Amino acid sequence: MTNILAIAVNTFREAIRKKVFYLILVFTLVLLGVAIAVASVSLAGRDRILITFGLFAVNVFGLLVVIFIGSQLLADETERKTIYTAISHGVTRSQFILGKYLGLCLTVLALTFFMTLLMTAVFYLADVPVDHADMFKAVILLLLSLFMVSGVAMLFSSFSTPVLSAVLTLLVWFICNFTLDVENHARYLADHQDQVVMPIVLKAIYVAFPNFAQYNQIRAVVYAHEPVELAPLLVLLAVLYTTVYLSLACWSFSTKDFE
Amino acid sequence: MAILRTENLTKYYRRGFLGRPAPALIGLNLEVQAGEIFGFLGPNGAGKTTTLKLLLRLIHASAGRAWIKGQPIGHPSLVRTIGYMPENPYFYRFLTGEELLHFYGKLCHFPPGRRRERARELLKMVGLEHAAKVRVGEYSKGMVQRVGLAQALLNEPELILMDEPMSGLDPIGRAEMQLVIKRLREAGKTVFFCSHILSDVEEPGERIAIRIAAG
Repeated sequence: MTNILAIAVNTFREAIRKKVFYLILVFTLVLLGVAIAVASVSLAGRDRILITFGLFAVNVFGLLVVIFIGSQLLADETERKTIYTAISHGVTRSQFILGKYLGLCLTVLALTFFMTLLMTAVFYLADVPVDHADMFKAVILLLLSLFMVSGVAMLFSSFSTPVLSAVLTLLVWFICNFTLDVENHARYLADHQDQVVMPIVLKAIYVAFPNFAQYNQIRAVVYAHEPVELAPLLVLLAVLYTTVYLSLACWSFSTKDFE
Repeated sequence: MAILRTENLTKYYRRGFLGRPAPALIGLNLEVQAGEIFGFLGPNGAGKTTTLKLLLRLIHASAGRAWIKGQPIGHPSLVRTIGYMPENPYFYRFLTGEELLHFYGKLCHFPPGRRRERARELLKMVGLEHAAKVRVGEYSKGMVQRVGLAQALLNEPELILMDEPMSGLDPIGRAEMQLVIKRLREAGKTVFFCSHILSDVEEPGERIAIRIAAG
């Protein structure tokens, strides 16, 4: 555990020193820009746009960090040969993957925390009525989805190039946002077109990837029709999927030759 | 007593779409005795770095075996026995020299006090006391080489593996590195180092193995 934590802290420190947190500044400017741009819209409409945009931006900025940093983490270490000395000091490859993953999650967590804090401040200043408890629960759910995507990024970067793993991670993120459609299409093909193979393939995709629609409660926060539920099943599923992705990443990384 | 022994150590890399095997090292047999300086000489492509990577389990052997202190390589008990200095070491540029050694100290499971103490001792030993608070990214090549040596010695290893330790150093830097290697020998360490330059190996090396090609 000491090795995992040491690598996680080092990864987080690298993110700080590489000025990843400048993204917060961009986030604030974008949010304030939108707040000014929608000032002339009707009050209810303006509030909805601001809440939707704020939470959407938290998600997108987190995703950008996961994709651009996550897909490079392992490649950087092997290209710069920094992993050699870590392994020579007794770090196993699995510990290295888990440390890097934790460091990435820590970075995303800190970034999301500060963005949420700033978003709350902007909402307060702009007098936007929002249920803070619901908003924080929605942010936690978005974070869970980002942690899962981080696991996917680690998996792809354990065997492919940074560009390819970034593209594949983004692709998986899209699939995760449309898994319900995938499942519906599989059912349609099986029921109405008597197809056998394609529905099985689509069902496999549905099972292999989490359904991010369940983790995206932005609409619930905006319209406040019903409270946002932080269901234990969603947390459990996030842990399960992440465990599977990281296990595969550890296995793939353990077979790798550092030429 | 042999501290390091290899038997028919072989490595093929897979190349191309079809995974055609390309030999990097074939049938290496050698023995390094405890407490000696062993120079491993050979031209580029002879398999010197491959040998070190196999010993550190950075790559997996295609055939053959190796033992360190009688234990097969990769055995958990060997972690604290080996120190490794890679060729043209490239460390975390965002860390200072002191932070870098603290990081490796954590990997060695040293408590904070011991980490501080070892970092101070080693930075002094390699002449980088003045640059302890300077980021590694701002170090010269020679300074990076020296901090690389410091991290290799952090856990007081019995066997130090060095890959081209004098690579890219000026004549003074080379002489200093040769002196360091001799001092390690005097301190009872075993040094196994690779080079493709005969004079680099001749001077400090007590025994020399010459490898002409991978096969």
